[in-house]
Amino acid sequence: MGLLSPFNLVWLFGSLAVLVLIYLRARARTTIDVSSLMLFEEIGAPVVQRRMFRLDALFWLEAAALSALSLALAGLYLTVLRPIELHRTHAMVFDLGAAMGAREGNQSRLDHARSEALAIVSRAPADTRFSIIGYALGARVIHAETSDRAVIRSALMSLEAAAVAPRPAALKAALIRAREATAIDLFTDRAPASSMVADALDPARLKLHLVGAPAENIAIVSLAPGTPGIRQGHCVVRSFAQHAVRAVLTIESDRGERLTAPIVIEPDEEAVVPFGPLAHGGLVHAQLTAPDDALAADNQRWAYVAPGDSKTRALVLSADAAVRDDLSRILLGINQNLTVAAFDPAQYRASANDSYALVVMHNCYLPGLHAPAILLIFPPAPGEAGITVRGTIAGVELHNQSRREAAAEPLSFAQVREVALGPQDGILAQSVAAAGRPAIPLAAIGTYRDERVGLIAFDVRDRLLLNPDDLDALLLTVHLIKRLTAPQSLEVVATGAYVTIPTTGAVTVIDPNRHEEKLSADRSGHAGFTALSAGRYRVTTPAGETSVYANYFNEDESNLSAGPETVPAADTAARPGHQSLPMTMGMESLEVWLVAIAILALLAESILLTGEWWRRRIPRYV
Amino acid sequence: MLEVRAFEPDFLRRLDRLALAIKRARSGRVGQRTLGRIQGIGIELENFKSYAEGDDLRFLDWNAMARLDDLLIRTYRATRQVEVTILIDASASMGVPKTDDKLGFALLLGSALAYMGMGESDAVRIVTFAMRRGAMQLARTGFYSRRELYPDLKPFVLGVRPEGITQLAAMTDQLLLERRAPGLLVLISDFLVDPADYENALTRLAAARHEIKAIHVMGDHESSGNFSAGMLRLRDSESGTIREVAMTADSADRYRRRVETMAQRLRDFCQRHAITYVRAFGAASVDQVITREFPRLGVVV
Repeated sequence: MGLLSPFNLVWLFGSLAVLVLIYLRARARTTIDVSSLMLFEEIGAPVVQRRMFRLDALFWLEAAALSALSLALAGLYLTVLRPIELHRTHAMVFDLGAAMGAREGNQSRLDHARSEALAIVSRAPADTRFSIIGYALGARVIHAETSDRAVIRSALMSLEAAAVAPRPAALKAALIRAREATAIDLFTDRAPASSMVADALDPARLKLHLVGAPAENIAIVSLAPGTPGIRQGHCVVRSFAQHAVRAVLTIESDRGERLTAPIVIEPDEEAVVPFGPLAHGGLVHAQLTAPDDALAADNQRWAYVAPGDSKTRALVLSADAAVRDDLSRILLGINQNLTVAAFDPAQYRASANDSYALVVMHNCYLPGLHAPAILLIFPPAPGEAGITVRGTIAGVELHNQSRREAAAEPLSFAQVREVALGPQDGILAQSVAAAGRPAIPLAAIGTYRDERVGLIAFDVRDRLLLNPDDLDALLLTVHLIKRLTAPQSLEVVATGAYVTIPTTGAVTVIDPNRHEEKLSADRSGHAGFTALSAGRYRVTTPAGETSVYANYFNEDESNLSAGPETVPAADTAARPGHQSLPMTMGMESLEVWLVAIAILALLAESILLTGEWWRRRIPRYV
Repeated sequence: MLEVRAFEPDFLRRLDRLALAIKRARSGRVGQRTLGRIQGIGIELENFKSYAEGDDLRFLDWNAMARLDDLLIRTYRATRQVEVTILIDASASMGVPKTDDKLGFALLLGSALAYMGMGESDAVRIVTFAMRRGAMQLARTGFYSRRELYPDLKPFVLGVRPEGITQLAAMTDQLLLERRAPGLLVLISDFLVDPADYENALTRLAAARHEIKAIHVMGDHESSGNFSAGMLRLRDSESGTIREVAMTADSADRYRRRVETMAQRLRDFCQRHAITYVRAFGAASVDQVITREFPRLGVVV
């Protein structure tokens, strides 16, 4: 407690002196000169005892009013312990993973989180600055710090859940971005690991808001369209519900084929629904319809199967017999309708009647071969088909963006061609940049003289593609072959994938939620976007329209039965409120309270005086 | 400053038709004060009577005897000159309350009576009295018997200030020491003294064969008892004694009863001693007192 202006205490004492003088003056009897006291002999003596001070309620009320005003003038304040800049900056971190889009009644988990956040914004002091950070694949500052409530509310309303599983690294990055704030609120349906939170910031400053209740969900895990005319396709459906669920699975292709299969799936089980074989192939769409299904993103899936027949031929050229064998198996695995011819390039003699849908050349290049799709694997120098080979590098590590396990063994290639791509080529994979060496493309796809040309820069000898420990290489190769043989106007990707579109001009992307986005080509002639929603993206380029179908399934994220987890002990201790925030001694001015006390005292005094006047009602003169 | 009115022509004009009433002679000395209409040496012929033995032959009307052949003695109205002393209480109590201007009221009445007395060629003087600094002080004017000299009283009248204590007995002592012939004494006071004091004074003055007229003056507020309600601190204007009273409606009634009781006691005393008592309460009633009360009570004719 102290005074901001001790000099003003003079006013206090002066006011009290004035009070005493006024009081004495008021108490002083009126002295009247009379001609003779004989005239008053019959009037009795006053019954009221005469006192200089009458310490009645009026005196104390007047004293209280004057004292309060004087202390207010002197600037009386209290010294209080308060957190430094308590709640002055407030970061709200939102989990924007797929599970946050799970519906509970008419609202999603994200809607519940949004409601809590709006309540926090409404309760906060006017000068509190809010920032909003979202995370899923990565962390993103949706709105920087501002105290404009309308902007904050607008930003909160704009939040949408993505059809991807939130990455722990994204959460950590989001918390790191929020750690400058004095208060941090995390809205999620799953409690983060305490250790990860502790790495990012002081857990005591984090207030965890767990939203959502256990919900039922069934999802399409995979869709294998089979081989047209040869092999059945099948669709795998998994239940994350706590009881048996009836659903209807509809599978249809863009060639008019349709299958509707009602299924009953037990809790925590998978159902494999066979269909086909398809007669024509093409784009296959599976749609799962179930009542009370909380998550819609994993209820549909797309797959493309080449509409081939037995006349479709592929040529594999490699000096290594093992490589020829591996590649042939892979091609047949991708499309059993293919007729694969494998040759040593030194022995291959091209004829005019040879027509191939796909030519795969490993460590060789025959310029006379033409096909709609050509795959060059570990191309030799100096390179052809728009590719320039600069040299060979040993010990190159694959940069796998989708790898979650940081501790997983990275895939290294013994030999990799360092190539220079054409401007229209899209890179599907590249190496990890090392000291003194930038990342180099490991897999790419492009167009050369109206032919689609694919590139795999690493050597696939030594059974690389069929080695179970090097599965990423096989997946990358299969993906590239599928891309290479698929129509250019159609692409099926997983949500979270970065989709690149070769273009020479502006690109318009309309996502499944009908949001339109304008993209422009970069210097390499590509425009790209990340498919965060499950469904069809319509990409319009000057060359035409391309459809990108994004499939979503994540086992952890689709399992909604667990509901919000128990908050870890460390977080629970931190929840009640910022005890460990740095504290400082602050001044709490009491002026408003003092003035209020003075006003109340004066009001009470007026009421007392009015009451006394009403009670006595004695005429002024007698 | 009511006394100023005493010298206003309009006020004096209304007094011209009034004269002091004097009831009986107190002295038989020729050429000196006599009261009443008696025969005697004078210049104004009053009547004739038949000569009787012993009559002063100087008053025998020789012309009448020549014409009527009868001895007739002329009688004259005796020369009458009465000393009129107007005693005005100038103590401090006459100045309180100021709004009433009791002293001004008393001076106005006294001056009016003096003017009327001068109109009858009576020797009139004004005397103010009050006990000041332990001694009775009487301030006197000379005797004026001509009305045209009336304005000479103005400086004296206007110079009177209320001060000192009322002690009528002491005033009487001083007055009787003058050993003047019996005359008319007009005592104007608030009589706020011990009744024994005024009784002593009036008794002794009456015993000295003076004709006494007592005029009891009080102010409007003083007589009506209009005081602020509540606790009052009262200070006696003469003694300085302070007393606190709780002024309520009941107290005011008691006050008014006290005023009436004192006035009644004075009036009763005056009646018992053939003293003319005039109650003059309130300066506002000055015209009514002079033109109605004074004639009705025989102060003036």
